[in-house]
Amino acid sequence: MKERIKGFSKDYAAFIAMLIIIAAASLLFDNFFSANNFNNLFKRASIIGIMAIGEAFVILTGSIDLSVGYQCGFASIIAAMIGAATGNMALMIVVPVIVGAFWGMLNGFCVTKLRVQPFIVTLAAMSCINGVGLLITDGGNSIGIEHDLFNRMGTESIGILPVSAVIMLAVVLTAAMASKYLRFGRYCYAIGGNEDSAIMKGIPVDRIKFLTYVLSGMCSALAGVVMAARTHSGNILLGEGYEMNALAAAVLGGILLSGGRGKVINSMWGAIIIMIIGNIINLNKNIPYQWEGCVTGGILLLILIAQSVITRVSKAEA
Amino acid sequence: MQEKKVLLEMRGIYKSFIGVNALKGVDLVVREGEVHALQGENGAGKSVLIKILTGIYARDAGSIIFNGEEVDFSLPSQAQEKGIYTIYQELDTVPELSIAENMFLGNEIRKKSGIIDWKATYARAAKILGGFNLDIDVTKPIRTLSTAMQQIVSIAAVVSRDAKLIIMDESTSSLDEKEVALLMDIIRRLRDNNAAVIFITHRLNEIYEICEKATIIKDGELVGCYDIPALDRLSLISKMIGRDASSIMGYQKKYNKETETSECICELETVYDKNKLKGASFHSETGRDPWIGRTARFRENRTCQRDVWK
Repeated sequence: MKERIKGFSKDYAAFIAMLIIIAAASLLFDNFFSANNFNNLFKRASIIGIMAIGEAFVILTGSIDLSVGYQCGFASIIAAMIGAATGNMALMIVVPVIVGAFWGMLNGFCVTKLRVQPFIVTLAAMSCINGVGLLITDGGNSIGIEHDLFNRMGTESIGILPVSAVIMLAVVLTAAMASKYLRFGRYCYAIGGNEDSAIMKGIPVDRIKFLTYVLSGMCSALAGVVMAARTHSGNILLGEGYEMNALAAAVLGGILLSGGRGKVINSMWGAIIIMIIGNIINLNKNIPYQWEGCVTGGILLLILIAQSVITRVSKAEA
Repeated sequence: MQEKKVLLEMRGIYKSFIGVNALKGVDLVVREGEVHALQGENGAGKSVLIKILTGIYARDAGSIIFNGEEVDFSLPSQAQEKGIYTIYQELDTVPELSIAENMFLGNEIRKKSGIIDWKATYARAAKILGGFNLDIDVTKPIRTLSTAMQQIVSIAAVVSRDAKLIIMDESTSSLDEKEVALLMDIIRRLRDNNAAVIFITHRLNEIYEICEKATIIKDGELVGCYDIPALDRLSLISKMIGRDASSIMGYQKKYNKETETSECICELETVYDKNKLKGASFHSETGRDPWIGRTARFRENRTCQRDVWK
């Protein structure tokens, strides 16, 4: 029984933490608990949430993808450009995702075939995507989106749930099932847990890693599409710094940065927690908004320290 | 007696690493239903030979015929497809994954739709372990088992597959006597199912207990392939080290065929560890491990650490 409680609290720690933070924020800040604020919160969280899902698979294999933030901004540009050129909503969604997959393939290729450190590869990709984004928008100009139906995807709600949150839920649930029931998902855990063993067992390690980068690229691109719909524009700077938020969301959700451990679905709770913290700072005029970055970074650091301690303790136990 | 069918035929295997000739034309012939010892000193080239067979290293020259066809594996998974499985000295488990999942990793039980059938996975895993009288909750992470149990579980999992040839690369070195007995039982079952086993061990008793044949290599060269019952221990060691084993100082005097578990040839110092080990002294017995000191010390050291830590 004790073990079951322990397992339960481990699996749902992020969810419980989110509930506690919501409760605390509702009590402390009177403008926090309102339908309007929650609606806004979920719209922002869904963008981070979608990105964090792709990132989660990459982290599970023990890698990292730092390029997700600019990939998100880049996708918003592509969506806006396709919108201006064709006005076709399906293309505005599909083409950016394909372009995202392409960036992911590039990352995956460098990591698995050229054997460059994931950190460096995706750091370079981050700079490279930013550069290309600035180039094609004449130095970072916004491209407006006139497509009404597309824009409503980012602003409208179904009942109390924003459309973007519904998209996130769909992505999260698919990812959670894939991580449990597909060989791809299980192999991500196996590679992150013990890569040598995965190789010996005949798991196609490089192919799986490559696919995680492609998936991460596609997820960030989808986040970029949602972002474009929310802001009615495409701009490379829209996703700036979001790689930090996506990382923090995945890690807050309990995914071990060293790989092999954690539940993909919890990244969603992580994303909501990150957004709530930002939201509290924004809502309170007496806290300067510049604190947001410090707090997100600080929390990320704390969680990583905790992870490192937990890993060491459980190693000592074994 | 009818000769059994040749399952594996490795001929004239050469392999050199930068500047070092690891293997200089080694042959290894294994028949169906045979437990074959591969013997040699540390660094003789046993592991290199095995890694060439299973596709981890590429050979420079030589041919490998497995089950009647010429093979050249470049990945362990290709060797596994043909029914060649390896159990390594080191643990090859993924600690966080469940016992059942570890057993079927790379070989998942899936439904027709392609999704993993967890219910069947757990049931099959429990059934396999049950066949060895092991009653373990297979849904738990494998790290909850002791190192030795993890090893046994890995072996049991391999055995359950359609394995034609199983390579045990010092699989027993971390096991205690009871666990070794369980492993021997597993090997006998394999043999009865007409599978072949290549067995690498530092423990001579195990060779004489279970192996029919031994291929001995020294410094990357083939010494020969011998029938085990016909080869006594002293000759076996002599062939491995390339000189008369009785010349090892004090060895012949202490080694006694009648009283195999006899005197102590090396007493090891007390070992301390700041966390777990308060101090332990142990000794190696000639009959159990009539090896040159270094090897014996190394192995006993490991065994001791494990036992005390448990």
